[in-house]
Amino acid sequence: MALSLMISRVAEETDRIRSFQLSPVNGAELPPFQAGAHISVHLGNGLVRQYSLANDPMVRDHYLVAVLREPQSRGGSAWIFDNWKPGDRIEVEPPANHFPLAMGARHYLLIAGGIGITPLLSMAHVLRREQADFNLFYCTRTSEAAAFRNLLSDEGFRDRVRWVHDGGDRRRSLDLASLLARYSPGTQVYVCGPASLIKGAREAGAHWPEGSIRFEYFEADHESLGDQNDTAFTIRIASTGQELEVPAGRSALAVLRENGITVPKLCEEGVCGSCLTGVLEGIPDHRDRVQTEAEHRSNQYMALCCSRGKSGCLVLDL
Amino acid sequence: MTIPILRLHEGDAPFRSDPAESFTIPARFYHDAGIHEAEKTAIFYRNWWFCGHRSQLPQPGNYITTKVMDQNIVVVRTRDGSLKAYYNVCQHRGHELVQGSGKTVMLTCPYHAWAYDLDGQLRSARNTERMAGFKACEFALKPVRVEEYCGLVFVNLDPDAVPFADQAEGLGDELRHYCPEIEQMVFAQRDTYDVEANWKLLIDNFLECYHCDPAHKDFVDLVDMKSYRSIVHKIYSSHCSSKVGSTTSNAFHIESGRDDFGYGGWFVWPNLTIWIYPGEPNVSTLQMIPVGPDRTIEYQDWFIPTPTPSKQLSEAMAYQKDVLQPEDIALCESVHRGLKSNGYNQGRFVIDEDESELSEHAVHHFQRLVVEALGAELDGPRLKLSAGLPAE
Repeated sequence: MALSLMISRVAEETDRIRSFQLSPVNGAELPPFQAGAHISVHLGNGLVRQYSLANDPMVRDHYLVAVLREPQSRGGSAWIFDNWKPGDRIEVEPPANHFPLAMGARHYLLIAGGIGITPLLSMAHVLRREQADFNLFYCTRTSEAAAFRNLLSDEGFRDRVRWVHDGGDRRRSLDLASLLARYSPGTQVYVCGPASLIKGAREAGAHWPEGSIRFEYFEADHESLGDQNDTAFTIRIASTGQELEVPAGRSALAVLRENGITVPKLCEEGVCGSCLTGVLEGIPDHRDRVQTEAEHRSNQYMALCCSRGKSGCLVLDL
Repeated sequence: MTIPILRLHEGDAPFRSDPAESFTIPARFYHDAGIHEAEKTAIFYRNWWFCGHRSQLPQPGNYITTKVMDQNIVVVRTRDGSLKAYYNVCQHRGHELVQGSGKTVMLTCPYHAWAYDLDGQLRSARNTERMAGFKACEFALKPVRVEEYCGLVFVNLDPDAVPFADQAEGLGDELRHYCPEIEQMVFAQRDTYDVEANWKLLIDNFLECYHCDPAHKDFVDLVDMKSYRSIVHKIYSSHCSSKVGSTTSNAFHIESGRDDFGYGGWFVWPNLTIWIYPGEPNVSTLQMIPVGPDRTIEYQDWFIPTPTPSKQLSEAMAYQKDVLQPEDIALCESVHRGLKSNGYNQGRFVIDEDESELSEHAVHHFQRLVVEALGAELDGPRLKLSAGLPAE
């Protein structure tokens, strides 16, 4: 049940980040959301992309999203930058939330990398209003690359924000190991940004209690399937019980073929759906671009040419 | 001046609404290329075309394909369990999407890997993400009507077609009377016949048992012909016998299953016949697929309780394939040749008031459907013969 919204304001946050205010038309009411939510947007070229809501949920007359212009855009950010203008109408799905802010913690750590600031900014608004104890670590390459600088330099946020600009030098990036070295009871952490930040935070916070660190992973528009962290995983053929190991850097499709099990294939890059196979057990790490988000969440099928395993052994309907 | 082919020609006798007074449609209707071409759009593009049984689409993702004359159609079982059908062609540049039958999560075109979901929506078209004005929603597969009736699946290329159940009202009750388990049957085998005869001759032949006594000796042993009746309805006719002739006929022996009827046969417009033999549960479809005015492919698909037939059913299937079909095909091929003879143009329907087993009124019913569909104007007084003989 899509909403028709109007682009009411466009702002150049940085030379690569634009923010858009999306307002209701004809006096309609915007569905409410909680901090951490996102909307699915019909870009106008047939693609649908998810963008986190950056504004304070108490603000009811618009949604604020921010988009990073990716140099190798698959058609998401490139289209938006080339086509979205004030006054345009776009269709969006009502907000959904896989990254909700839990209230009542004693301390909050918000760790943002690049465009990952968007859901955390919404959380920061709420936490500031609630006068909660929080710190926002905003990591970007340079200070010019950080969006919402004015807002975050404002009175209410100034003392809470730590800017981390590493200039591309790993040695100068946020020291997650130190930051998360000691778990203090009642602390809740939210991390949002690129894969490297997520990976670093997972490792540094591995000893923290379950649920105390939450991650929202922004799949970059252009990110090729090989960039992602490939770990080995196991698959089992349901009909025979045969188990096969899929090493890092190889696909389930290739390993199956090597073992005499042919699965239809065509594009081998996760867009054509030919190799989609039923998953009877286990949770896939979906990397295909042909299933919908809902289909990914259902874990009913996975693309054997590119997707991997998240947990345990994947039992395939073969 | 050429008189249009759908009108009475010199020497044609009229096709009348009363079968007893009517002549058969003129011979040219069985071998003229123009008529064959006209039938494509006038008959086959606008009526329900049989394409399989529900057991051939058991689960979401299962698909079958069929050709309605020259139109390639794919029928799928979607994720929510319903049946959908589309023109089997990729919306990119026209490559055929899928072949044969199988099970799939996406319908992916082998040419450029465009992928459609089972609801026909374009999911992925490589390298189109940055094309201005390219909207995936405009490239959905073009749908075609599909309906299931007593487990039999039909498609219709006419989007406004009257539902099959309405057109064939009453057929379901009859089918379930002779085979209550019709929906639970499963596909066992397909027998294919390549016949040098026009499709309409094969149907004409099916619709009367006037020829059964001389031409199908084993059939009239198996089936009690005295209780055989042809009854016409809107788009179908039934040809059923309520008694077995013999359980030990040369056709096949009935040792298990029902012997409380002799045979159930139905014609469903335009080109489907349905057969139910006594004994163990069975239903088969025999579909006449026009290839050209002089050639028809027949598919006989058997649907029985298990994919591998029992001994008794094997015998029934062998009887059909090795005895009955060859008998009928030989008859029809001869008629097809005979229709080109200068010594014949039209015949008569042998009709009796009681519509007994010898009456050919169902043949007239079918030919009337053909005439109406083609918009042929064949009624009227007999035209004068060119040789100067008086008109009637």
